[in-house]
Amino acid sequence: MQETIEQQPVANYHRHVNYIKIWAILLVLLIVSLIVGMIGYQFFAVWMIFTIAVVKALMVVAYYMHLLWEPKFLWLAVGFAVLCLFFLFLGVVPDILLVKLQLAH
Amino acid sequence: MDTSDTMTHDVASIPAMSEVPRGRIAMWWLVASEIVIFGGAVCCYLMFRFRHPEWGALAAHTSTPMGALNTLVLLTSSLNMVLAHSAAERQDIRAACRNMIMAMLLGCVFLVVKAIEYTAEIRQGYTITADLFWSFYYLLTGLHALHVIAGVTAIFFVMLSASKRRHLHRVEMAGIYWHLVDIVWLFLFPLLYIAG
Repeated sequence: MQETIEQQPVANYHRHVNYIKIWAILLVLLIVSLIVGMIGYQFFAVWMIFTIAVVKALMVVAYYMHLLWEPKFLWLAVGFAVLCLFFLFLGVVPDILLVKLQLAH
Repeated sequence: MDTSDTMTHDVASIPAMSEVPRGRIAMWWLVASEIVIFGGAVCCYLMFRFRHPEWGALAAHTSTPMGALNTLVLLTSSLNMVLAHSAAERQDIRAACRNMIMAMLLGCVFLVVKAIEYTAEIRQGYTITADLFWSFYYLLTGLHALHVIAGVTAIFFVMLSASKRRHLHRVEMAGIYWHLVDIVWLFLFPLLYIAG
């Protein structure tokens, strides 16, 4: 009995969904992004591909990493990282996009 | 929970400020820091990419079928890890270990496919110093490959202890890390392969 207490995670509030169904949806999305990629280098195709990538990532985060069932402060931790990234992006933009590049090839 | 109960638990499985175990909070902080590391590199790549339309032609030399195969491999290994987590919660040690072994094998398959890709690209002269695009390509995929190696190693040690019915909560922790590795690839694949 003692051993059982040691092994059992304390907080099992995660719901276990049908993971194989999620995997199948992710595969369908992968195939869709490949098909869209064959359209060629077009504005629509690029946006579609990255939208699909974001949807796939959100599905993995929500269902495989169980963030959907985590309290809000864990969401905030991830959100804070994304916010830091945004500020990093803003800080680097002038150095890359707004100056004339002189790169050695 | 009285004091004697608390003493029997692994520190990482004890709830901290809420019902969330400390280990899980620590893993999410690790995920947050990795978002900044990979996100920063990807943002820099994107900004340079906007300034270099010619990179589209260079990206055409990366192998989309190989990249797609690796995406499939990582998605499947993520499925195995989450099934291992579910099995560990049910105290089904055999299923947990079997799924972790599958996840590790698929991680190794990913690395082998990546090595084949690298070999083909280097033979064609696309080395890390050939062009800025290839510098970014090797930086992003190489850093990701290092994370795959770290993930496989972590899963191996978690599996060893889980097979002895110890520290089963670590299956979930290793899983969170492994899914992060999967998510990073979900962005690298369209960036470097499809939308080149």
